[in-house]
Amino acid sequence: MTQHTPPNHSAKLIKNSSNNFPLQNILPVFWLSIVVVLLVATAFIFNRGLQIETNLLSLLPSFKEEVLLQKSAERFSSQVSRRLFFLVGNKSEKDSRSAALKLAGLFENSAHFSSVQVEVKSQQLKAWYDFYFPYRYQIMSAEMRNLLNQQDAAEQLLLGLQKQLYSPLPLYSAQLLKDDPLLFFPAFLASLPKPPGKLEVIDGMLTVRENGMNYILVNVSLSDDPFKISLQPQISGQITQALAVVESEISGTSILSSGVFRFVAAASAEAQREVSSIGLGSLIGIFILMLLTFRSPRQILVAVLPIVIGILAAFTVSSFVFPKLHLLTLVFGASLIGVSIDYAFHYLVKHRMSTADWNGWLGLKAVFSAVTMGLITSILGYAGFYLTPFPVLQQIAVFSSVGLLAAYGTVVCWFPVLMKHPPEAVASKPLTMLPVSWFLSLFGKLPRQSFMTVGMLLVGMGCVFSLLSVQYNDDIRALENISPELKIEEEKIRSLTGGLDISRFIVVRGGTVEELLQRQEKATLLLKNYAESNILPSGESKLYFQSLAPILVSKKTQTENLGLSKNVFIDGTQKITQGLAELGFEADSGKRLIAEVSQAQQSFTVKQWLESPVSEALGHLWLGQIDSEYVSLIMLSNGHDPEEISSMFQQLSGVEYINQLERFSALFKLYREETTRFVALAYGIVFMFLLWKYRFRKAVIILVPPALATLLTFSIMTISGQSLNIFNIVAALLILGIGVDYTIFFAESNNEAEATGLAIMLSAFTTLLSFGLLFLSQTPALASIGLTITLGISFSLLLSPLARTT
Amino acid sequence: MRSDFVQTKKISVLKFPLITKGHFLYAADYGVIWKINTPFEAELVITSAGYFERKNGELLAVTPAGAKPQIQSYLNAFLLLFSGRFEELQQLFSLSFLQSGKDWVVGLTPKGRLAKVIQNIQLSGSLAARVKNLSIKEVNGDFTQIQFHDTAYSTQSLSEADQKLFQ
Repeated sequence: MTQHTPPNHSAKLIKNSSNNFPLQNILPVFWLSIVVVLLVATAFIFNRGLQIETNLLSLLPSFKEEVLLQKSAERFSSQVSRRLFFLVGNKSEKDSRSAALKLAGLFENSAHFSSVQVEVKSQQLKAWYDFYFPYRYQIMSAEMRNLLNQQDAAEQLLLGLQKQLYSPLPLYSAQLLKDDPLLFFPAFLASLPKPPGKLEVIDGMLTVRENGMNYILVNVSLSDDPFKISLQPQISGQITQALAVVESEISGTSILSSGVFRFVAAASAEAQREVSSIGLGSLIGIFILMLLTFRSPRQILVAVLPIVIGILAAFTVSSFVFPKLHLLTLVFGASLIGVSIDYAFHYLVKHRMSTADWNGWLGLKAVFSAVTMGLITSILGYAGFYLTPFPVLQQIAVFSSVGLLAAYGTVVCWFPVLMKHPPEAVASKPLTMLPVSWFLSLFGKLPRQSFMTVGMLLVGMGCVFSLLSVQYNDDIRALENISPELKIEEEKIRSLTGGLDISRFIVVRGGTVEELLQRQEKATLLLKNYAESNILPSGESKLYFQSLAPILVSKKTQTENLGLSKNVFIDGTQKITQGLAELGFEADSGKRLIAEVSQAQQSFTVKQWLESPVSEALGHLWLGQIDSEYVSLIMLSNGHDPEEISSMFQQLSGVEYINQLERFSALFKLYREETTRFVALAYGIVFMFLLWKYRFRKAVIILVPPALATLLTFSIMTISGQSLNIFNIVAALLILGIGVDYTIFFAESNNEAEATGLAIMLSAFTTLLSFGLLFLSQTPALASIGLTITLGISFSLLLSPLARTT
Repeated sequence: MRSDFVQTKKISVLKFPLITKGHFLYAADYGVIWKINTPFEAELVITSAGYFERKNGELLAVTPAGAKPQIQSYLNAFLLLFSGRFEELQQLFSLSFLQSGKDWVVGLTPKGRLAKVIQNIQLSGSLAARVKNLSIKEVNGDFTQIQFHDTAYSTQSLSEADQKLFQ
């Protein structure tokens, strides 16, 4: 007999009607109508098209005070993540060029790629001339500006001109001499940022040479979001095919490629492969287990029903609630199999262990209290997650709660009808019962409960003590599955092209365009000074950066520059006119200069600049208006020193150094800590509920096994040197949800500990097979969830008989 | 090879030719020292590594306006002209050779990217490979003539003092 009869509704109902379950005539039809509505809704969702998010970063909400930075980073990364880079290499320069053109041609013919760049068209120089030449006396290089500030600016200008003219080298800008005798425009062009690293423009193509190989850079943009999972296989296929075609048609060609898409596509292909192989393995395992227990395929089909309905419901309702489901939600959703099958097993084992006088509805009565309590505690646990500001946790909470509710509904409303008849092989016990009986009898031989209490306290304290040295790793890179081959290829490209860092850069903002441009100039000046004073032994600077400052010049600076030019030309009229005449220029050259600087030019707007081809190369640095501010970026080379760079800008308002990796890691840390608190809160909520339902002692004994299992799990991971991250903490919640089911089933089992034990063992093995197997995954995030679940569920299973009533 | 030179450069925009005088040193494996004495003083160093000007005793890279690879290939060709390595020259130019008595003329028409800048080059001299005259005609009509005189040749390796000129 139970030590304490819980004052719950089911108990009262059982007393009121001994042979019937309340509403037993309505329930099956009621549930059927719900399932029909659900199926219609699911069909509607599928018809609308699935929206699945695979970007790990989209899991993160932003720091509230950093909305602008977050939006800037998002806008930038949405551009950058579309970019693909190919280095087409061949020993022969000619072949590498034709291979690059061939590859570009193949991409241009596909709708998946836009803006394929292989050639710097010769019209581009013309475009620069058309765009900037009129402003040559106000948009100028920093060196020219310094020179104009000198006392003897006129003499120096003339001397520089003389040197160029008298040089033994051909003068490439000879045709400009007439309109720009002091060569301001060529000096401006020469001061513009060069392509990064060893890249150089050779006959219109970005080229780099190494070990006798000639590489041409081909830049491609994807037309679609690279994280769109449905397009990934198709685009990957086209890329692979294009590379193969070019490599086979032009012999000796080898092509390196990189870009966010390559990594994302490889990772999601791997994830899909794993889900199907791990999924198949676990299905087979579960099938064998069920066959051994029930010896009839009918039970297996019945057991699958609540899972299917649960998952469909979870999927459909979440799709209505959230615009996009995250892949991680679906992965966590897979744990539903493990939880929702608990209810089915509990009922089916009851059926399996019954005798010829079996009545489906009475069977339900016997397990109703246990499964209902199991459902409520699990949903209460998930409810805590709905309160977090962490979008993916909210999704998981909704997905799991709805799924569990639907699985529960299916068991309660349909199982009595589906399992109307008594079991056939009544005589023999199921084979799987043997280990359960053995284990339970082992448990029965354990010392008295006071000893047990002390023992568990000691174990718990030991765990807490070992957790003092717990290591956390919130680095986002540790969570992503990065294909090693692609990593090598990317490193190679990076070493050849000296690429820019796309996760650490400088964000400049201003209330007006002019304010932004002025701040950008100040920041650029600091960077320039730093780059010039940090020269490596190789002769290259420690820092390479890309800024719009030289080509998008503030009105203030333009006015100053024009003033400087005017002063020098007017003060030095005599010298300049004479000097130019001596070199053989037309006599009025000096006067023309003064006339030109006197007609102040209204400069171009950013909009005009963006529309011109001159913005093609660096236009992505201009992020434009975000909220009420204007934003631009300054890119830095890989391998810069974050501390030195960030400390440079402390005095400059509106200029911030952004370390995306650090920000993401900080966010992961913040939410790991927050999630830990929510797990504690979930335990609190569940405990309050248990207190309302049971006496204190029983409530404690129900909650101790999952809590101890969680502590043991983290303790073992810590002792074995594994570091924890947010996903392990989320997994702790699953251990609570599932582990409490086990203990409640035991607590409600009355004298049928063996049947309950069998049901619990079956569901634990199902969870281990379906979810624990994830620890075989190549994706670190999934593997670490898998390991946590495996350990946690195993301990929960082993400790659950503690809650048994005797 | 050491020599004095007179460079006459005719630039189409300018009314009269620009004349430079100075001293020239070519050393195989090193490059060219181009020391201008008039109309101003400057010391230019051309090596396979690039084009430099000596300022206050230090070599500073000069980046003339123009596309870098074109300048580099011009510099390489310029160095090759004095090296007498005809096989390598033939990769960059199609060569024609004329001889009358003691005098010879080599005509070089560039192939590849040099052709965008240089129309043709003529190198003339007298027997024993003595270079006397180098004229370069650019595509844009500019014309440069370099006359060498008082030329001295030596097969000895460069003195230490001269080596320093390239550093």
